Amino acid sequence: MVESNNILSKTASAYNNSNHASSVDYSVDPQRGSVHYRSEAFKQLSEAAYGSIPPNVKKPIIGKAAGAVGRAQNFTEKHSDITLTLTYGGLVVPITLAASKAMGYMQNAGMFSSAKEMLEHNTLYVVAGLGVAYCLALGGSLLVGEVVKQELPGKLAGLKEKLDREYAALGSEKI
Amino acid sequence: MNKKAKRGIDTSDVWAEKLKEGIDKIIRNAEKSYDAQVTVLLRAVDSAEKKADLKKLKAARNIALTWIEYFETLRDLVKKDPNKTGAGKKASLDFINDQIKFFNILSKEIDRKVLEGKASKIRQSLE
Repeated sequence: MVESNNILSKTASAYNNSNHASSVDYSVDPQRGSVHYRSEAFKQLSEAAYGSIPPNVKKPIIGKAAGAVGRAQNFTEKHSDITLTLTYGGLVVPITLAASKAMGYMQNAGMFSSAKEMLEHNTLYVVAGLGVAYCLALGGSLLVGEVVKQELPGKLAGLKEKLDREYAALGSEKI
Repeated sequence: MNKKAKRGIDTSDVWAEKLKEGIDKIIRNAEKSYDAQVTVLLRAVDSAEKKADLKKLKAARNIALTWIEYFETLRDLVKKDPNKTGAGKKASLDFINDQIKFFNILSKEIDRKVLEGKASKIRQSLE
């Protein structure tokens, strides 16, 4: 077990006693004696993404999806310089929002005529939305990171690279 | 009429299910990736503390601080986007704020331990 007076237990205690929206769960692998982290907040994000789809809108959206994904595929091919990775979990936030955005696009069915404009202003959301649609075109084989790539806004990309270097310097085992 | 429609299959429901599965998979992948990154960090903290490895503790503290910076930047992006409203935006900001709070506490606890370690070394050198 994690000792009660070490860094992790003190952090968990302070965090869980603070006024926060969710809990951090620590567990110990009995074989390796190692610590695992799991943020319950992801469930809220997931629920928010699903919850943003009004039930009465769902069917009309999906009914138009077949044509829309064809256009998405063409659009994506024209923009092959776009990159998308799911390397860091922080990205779950814009990707989740993008899923909602993709729904909105599909609702209008003309989503990809305006996607270019959106792309110029906010690559992250739009491209992830395109990724969802593009994967649908592949018959629901959904590994977005393998299909489309995404550009991170400049500062985030720099921080991601910084994290890569710092993790390398830490020299810890891979999971 | 397409083949599926002729067979009486509701293609709308099929697409809806595929889309839901897709979103679910994206979120699961990102969740798995993020939890793995944080687990690596916490294991390193635990290991460094047990070995009294101050250098590794400082490296872990730096990662916690960079995560804070990362989430603060992400929070600014989400806040600035006028197209984002409602439950999705709130859940995103709640999530980001939670992560910032967590890494703040973690970095302060590491700082405390590093200072204790330094004090201990000084005491030992004086004895």
